[in-house]
Amino acid sequence: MNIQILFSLKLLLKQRSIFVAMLVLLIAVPLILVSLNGSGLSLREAWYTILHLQMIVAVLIVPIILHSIWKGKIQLFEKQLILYHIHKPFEYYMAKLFAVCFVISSILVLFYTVFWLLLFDQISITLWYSTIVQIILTLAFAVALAGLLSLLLKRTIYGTILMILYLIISIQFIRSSMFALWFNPDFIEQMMLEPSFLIQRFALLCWIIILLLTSKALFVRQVVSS
Amino acid sequence: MKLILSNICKKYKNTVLNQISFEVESGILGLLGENGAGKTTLIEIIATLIKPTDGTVYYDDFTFENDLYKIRHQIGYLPQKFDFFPNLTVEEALYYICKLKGINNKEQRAIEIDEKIRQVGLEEQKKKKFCMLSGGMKQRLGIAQALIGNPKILLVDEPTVGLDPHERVAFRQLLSSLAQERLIILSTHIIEDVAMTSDMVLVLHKGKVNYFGHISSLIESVRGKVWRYKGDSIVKEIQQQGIIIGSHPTDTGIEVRFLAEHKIANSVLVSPTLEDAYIYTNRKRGTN
Repeated sequence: MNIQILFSLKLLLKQRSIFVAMLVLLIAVPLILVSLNGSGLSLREAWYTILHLQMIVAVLIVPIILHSIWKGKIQLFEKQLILYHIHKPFEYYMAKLFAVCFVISSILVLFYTVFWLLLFDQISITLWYSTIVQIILTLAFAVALAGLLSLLLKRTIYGTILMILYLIISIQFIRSSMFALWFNPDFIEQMMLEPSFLIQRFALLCWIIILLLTSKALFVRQVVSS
Repeated sequence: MKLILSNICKKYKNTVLNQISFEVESGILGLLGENGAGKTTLIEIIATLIKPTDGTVYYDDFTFENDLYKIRHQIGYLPQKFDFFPNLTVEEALYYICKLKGINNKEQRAIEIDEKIRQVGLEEQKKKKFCMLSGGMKQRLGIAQALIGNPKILLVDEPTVGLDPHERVAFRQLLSSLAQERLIILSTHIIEDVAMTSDMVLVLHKGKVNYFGHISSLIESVRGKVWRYKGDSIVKEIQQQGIIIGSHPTDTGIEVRFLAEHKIANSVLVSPTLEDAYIYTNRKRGTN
């Protein structure tokens, strides 16, 4: 499994243009938007606004980033040269998902860690910790969902459209954190620090497992039939 | 490694392979057949990529059902259309294959990669990305990845398709040099590739074995049946009774090379080639 993860990370990071675009979209754009509009924002408000913008961007770019290393179906050479030697072929797919989740999460976790370290006297460690948990959980869910959609749908664009719809519905209508991809910014502060919300949010882990099990069935069927 | 195929059949909607049996241990076995004869299916069965509908393949004492990964460890496979991740360099691609084949020792891996790169003559291209390589270089990388771990069986499927004449000659030389330490099965529809490299040949025709044995015996089987005719134009008898292999215009008219059981018109016997024997074998069995 390790070699598969390292290799997927390498493949992803070698696509420099995608990596740079990812950094710009995740870091530069939210910061610029907040600095343009947020002269009256407190530090805590700025934290939430940037997080909200970043999570929307992150969720939307997940299918595209995933597509750069996983095309949704096994290419012939992958079957003949790579899966040929892997005893558990599903690890290959899992490694791709993990690499995408790891890279995007790492950028955001690093960003908030630096942010917090610079202003630790004004931002509580609870907020930092809650933010990190939300980032990792939400991205893991988004990546697992994008992976499943890539196996189900023929084109990345269809997966991206569905992710956009789910994100909009989540923000606008879904009040339960157990089902939302991301949540309404009006509730963000209250929700982020509320233990019952955090516990509910862990229900995403169950959804992630279900998505991965479904993906496994589809992937194995592809390996056998291709 | 001794490779034994016993009554191999493969059926999808139609029968692709029918009762294929042969034994081979070393050297280069040329797998000849027209497009759709079942060559790639047979190679994929030997490579353990697909299961036969019926029959068994023995790799020494190993079988597909019981020893899949032990067998795969002993097989180097160059698929028909060799492709890889475009952004990886030659070295990185081989590094990944080494890891996949379980070569985890750093020094051993470095030696293995250097050796294979040298063996296939890609020293100057080792830092080049896969997408920047020419067709011939990609095939060389394909061979290099197949050779990682020094497999006892090397399967190459249509390796010279798309190569220019120089690359094709170089590739044949490379294959010949590799055959001293292992069994190579070369699948192709290019007769010249087999004639220049192989000791043994298996002729596949519509999923059946038309011939299996030494190339020289196959050629001998058509001695006395290959004719050359020179004249103003092709006579009707040649068209009706013979199998025309080739013809070209000359200063005085036309020269025709053909196969026939008996002399026709004022033709003369000529020495047979593998191409003559291949066409004769397939035509003879095809009409039966």
